Formats: sequence, C-alpha cells, structure tokens
Amino acid sequence: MARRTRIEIGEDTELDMTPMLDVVFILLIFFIVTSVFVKMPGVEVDKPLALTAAEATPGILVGVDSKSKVWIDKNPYELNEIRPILLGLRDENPKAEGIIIGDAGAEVGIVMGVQEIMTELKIDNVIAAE
Amino acid sequence: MSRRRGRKPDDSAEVDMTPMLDIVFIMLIFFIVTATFLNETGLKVDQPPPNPDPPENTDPTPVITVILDSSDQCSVDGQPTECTRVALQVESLTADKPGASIILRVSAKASHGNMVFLKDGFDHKKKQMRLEIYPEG
Repeated sequence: MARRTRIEIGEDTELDMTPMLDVVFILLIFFIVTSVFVKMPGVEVDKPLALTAAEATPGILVGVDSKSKVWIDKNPYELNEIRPILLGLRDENPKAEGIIIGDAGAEVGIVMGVQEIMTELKIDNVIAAE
Repeated sequence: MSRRRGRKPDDSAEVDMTPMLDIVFIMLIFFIVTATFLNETGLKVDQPPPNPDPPENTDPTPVITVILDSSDQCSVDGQPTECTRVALQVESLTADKPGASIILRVSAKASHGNMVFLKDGFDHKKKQMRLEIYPEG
C-alpha cells in the first residue's frame, strides 16, 4: 500500500534539483580552486620548538631528517642533488612558498644549504617550527 | 518520463541531467578527498650573502658574537655559556655595549634544533642579529 502511494507521488511531483546543483557546483569550484597538489616530503621529523613561529602556507615542502638526508616527494636525496628538483617544482608553481621541515637533530649545514638553494632559486622560504 | 514524453511529444525540451550530476559528484568527492589543508608554522631565516671582502677590523659598532659549535656548545664573546642562558647573557652584555650588533655564528655540524632555539630566543626578545654558518674543518 504505502509503496504504491509513494511511487505515485514520485511520478506526479518532479523533484527540483536546481538548488542542490547550485550548491554542489559551488562546492566543486571551491575545492578545485583551493586544491594545491602538495607533494609531502614523506618523512617524520621532530620539529624544533619556537615561540615566534608564524603561520605559513607552503607549496614546496622539503624535509631534512636526523641523518641529514633531504626528502622531497617521498624520495631521499643528498644536498647536492636537489637543485634541479627544486627548480622543477618552482617552475610548476612559481608563486609557491617553500618550507624546510628540519629535524631538531639535523645538521645546520644541510638545512641552511637547502635554504640557500631555495633563496638562490627565488623561492620564499621558512624553516618549520612548532 | 518516457511515458509523459510519449504522450506529449512537443514537451521534449527537458535535458536529462543525471549523467552530468554523476560526474560532478565524482569530481566533488575526488577534490574533497585529495584536499590537504596544511597548517604549517615556521620561522623566516635570512643568511647574509657571503662577504667577498674580509671583515674590516675598524668596525666602529661593538659586536657580540654568539657561537654554536659542532658539539652543540654555546659561547658568548668567547665565554662558554649554557645554550638556554645565551639570551640572558647577551642581554647583560648589551647593557655594557649599547647598540651592539649580534652575530650568531653556527657550525655547519651543529644541530638544527639548537640553532632554531637560539634564533627564536633573539626573535622573541626583538633583537636584530646576523646569522653566519661556518663550515667545519
């Protein structure tokens, strides 16, 4: 009984989907616009603590682990190998800001070496801290 | 639908939106799932470009040199200091040398955490300083 009446209602009154479609499109466009395909460094690090750390919205993430390996997009590299990779990432997304996520036990020379390369390639950069 | 269309053939200007809606939903779900909302925090660190000339000794402004060496020991103006007390030590030295500029010299082999700690300490006290990395060896 109940089922039959429901079918009848469904056929008579057509559901107006326009408002829902509007919302769905707005959501879709929002997610397309805000999505930046960030390549995570793929390494867990102990970030150093800092009181003055400011918010950053990075697009290029570089990790440096405690064994001073440089991680970009889940691959480990040596410091002298990363320049072409960073150059490629910068050309993909010229306005992207870089962040160097260094382990508290990493060597300063490696972290600041990455920072120097980023600065040379005109990538705005910050050092990650919590 | 088809029944109605069959009844009134001139009322056929209605577009079937279902396939488009399917695609739109799939795209929507894809973008929601792949969206990564990063909230990173960080410090800005500027290294001065390497100086081509050797530093002049006739520099009129007094200088406080903080050194973090390769075994993570701190010293202020040549005096060994606990890294946690460097900011205080520098504070008392600036009282003796008003307007002194601070140079933070860090060994390339020192640990990153300590360097961030020192730099953050100076930033927090709103002290200007220059960061220099010196190679080990």
